[in-house]
Amino acid sequence: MQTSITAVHRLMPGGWGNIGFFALVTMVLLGFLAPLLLDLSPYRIGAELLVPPSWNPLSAPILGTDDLGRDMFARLVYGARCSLGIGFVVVAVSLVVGVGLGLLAGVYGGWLDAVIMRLVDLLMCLPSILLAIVIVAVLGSGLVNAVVAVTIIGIPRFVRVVRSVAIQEMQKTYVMAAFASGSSRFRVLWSEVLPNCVPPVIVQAALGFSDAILEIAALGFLGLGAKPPVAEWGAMLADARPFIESHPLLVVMPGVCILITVLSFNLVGDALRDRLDPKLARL
Amino acid sequence: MILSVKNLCIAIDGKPAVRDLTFSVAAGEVLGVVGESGCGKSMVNMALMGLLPDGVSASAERMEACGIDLLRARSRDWRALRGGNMAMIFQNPMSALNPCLTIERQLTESVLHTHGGMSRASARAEALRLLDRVGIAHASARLKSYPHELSGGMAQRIMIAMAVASAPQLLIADEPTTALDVTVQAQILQLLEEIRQDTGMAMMMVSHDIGVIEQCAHRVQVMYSGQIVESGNVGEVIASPRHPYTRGLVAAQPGRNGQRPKSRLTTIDGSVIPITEEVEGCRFRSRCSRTDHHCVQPPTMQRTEANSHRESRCHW
Repeated sequence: MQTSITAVHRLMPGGWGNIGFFALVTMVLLGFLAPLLLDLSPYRIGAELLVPPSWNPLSAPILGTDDLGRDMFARLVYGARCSLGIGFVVVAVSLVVGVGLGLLAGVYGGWLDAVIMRLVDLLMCLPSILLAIVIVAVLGSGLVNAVVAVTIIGIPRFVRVVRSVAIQEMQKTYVMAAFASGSSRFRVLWSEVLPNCVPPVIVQAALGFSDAILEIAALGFLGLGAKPPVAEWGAMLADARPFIESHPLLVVMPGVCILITVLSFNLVGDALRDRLDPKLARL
Repeated sequence: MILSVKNLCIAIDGKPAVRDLTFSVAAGEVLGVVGESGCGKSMVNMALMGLLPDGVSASAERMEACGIDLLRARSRDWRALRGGNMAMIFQNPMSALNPCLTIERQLTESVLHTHGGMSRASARAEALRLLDRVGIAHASARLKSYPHELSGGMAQRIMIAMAVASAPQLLIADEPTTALDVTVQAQILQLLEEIRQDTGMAMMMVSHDIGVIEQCAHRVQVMYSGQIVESGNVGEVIASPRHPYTRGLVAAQPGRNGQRPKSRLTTIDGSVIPITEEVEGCRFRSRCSRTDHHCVQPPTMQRTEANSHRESRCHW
């Protein structure tokens, strides 16, 4: 029992991060368990349009229906699933690629470093949403292409962080010691430098999650990401725009979902940074 | 000869720093290298391991270790040499261990590097044996530790275990006891001596403390500002130093020559000239108490007695 409590405690980011952490756990449970337990159909078109929320968990449309009579609660739950799933894929792919490139740049240096970093600079000198629009414009719109675009613009943050850690670590005696015991450069990269990159990468991943969700929603809102009828928060915002004056809740609800998710990830990310970043470590 | 170096010169950004170093180490022998900070001791070690940083280059007439010509070694040869016949331990053991990895991971990695096809389990057994060999109690519990959970002495023992994992013929010890307190220092030197007697490896022991060298080395070479100024048998050099710098070093030890405790320490006036600075004549001239007109000429290493191996870079 004692050990499981400490294990949970170690997972918790602490402080404000705990609030974000619980919000995210709730979001994940809702998004991935609710569709299994409840009979939710985000695409079924009902007879009654624009029903106001009942706010009663026992009577059918808890959060009302939208302009096509679809259940808002079901759509928001599926939207959570969509956003979190996409966020995870985006962060996972850009993390692997970004960490790999950052390690190569930091450990090998020289022309490889120059090439990688100039490419990263190129990616970073354009506003990220604009870049995403350009990528989507080239690849064609759609959820998959939007994910590809957001993944690409998520890479530079990892490259930069990992490279700077790697350059610092390469100066340390234990890297010298590893070379002195016959390790190859790749061996040093893998078993000496990479483990030291883990804490900052965790922080960047948490923050990258929120950026990814925001960007996917923005692309969905612009009509470049998820297409109707997919239940995705950004696309739902866009769909509800004509009703913003008559039925403002249709816009507010997906907006609040985006806000809570992004805020939670930022809270968790900041708390993790306070805990894991050695430069901010409490003495 | 395990190590044989002739006229090794090291330049920093093209400026000569270490000048014409000639020395050798025989199998099973301990060569002590002594000199103050910034005299180029560590740079020589790095050159021998092929780990000179960018902008620092070495050239020599001959540089051979364990039968391999280091001047012609390619990176593959270097890697084989470093994890095999040559090993090195560092000044600050706490920073020479990776803070993120357990001792087990680091030690088994060294073992696996030496014994390519070994299984994880037998590598762990070998790691335990090595920890036992370097005198670490509760070895299996220690394997689970991270470096910050160890004392400096323990960390240095683990560095030694990693270094001797490949049964090297030559161990370069770069100020291995400087960061440790005096009692631990004695234990570490004792341990190195035991391992040397067991395995017959040669050692190059670098230190700024002539007392450490006296305890463990057979031969000593004194370095000053990138040059060897005196070399010979440890006992003889310390008993009757010939070069004024060596004399100063020996005299500067507290409690030597029946000095009263707590009396004022003898020092060498002035400070070491920067290693890359060009000097006319003897490099020690500005700090020497016995200069004369000969000192304007660059001095050469000379035999001090007709049939001994002692040499000194001074005309006195």
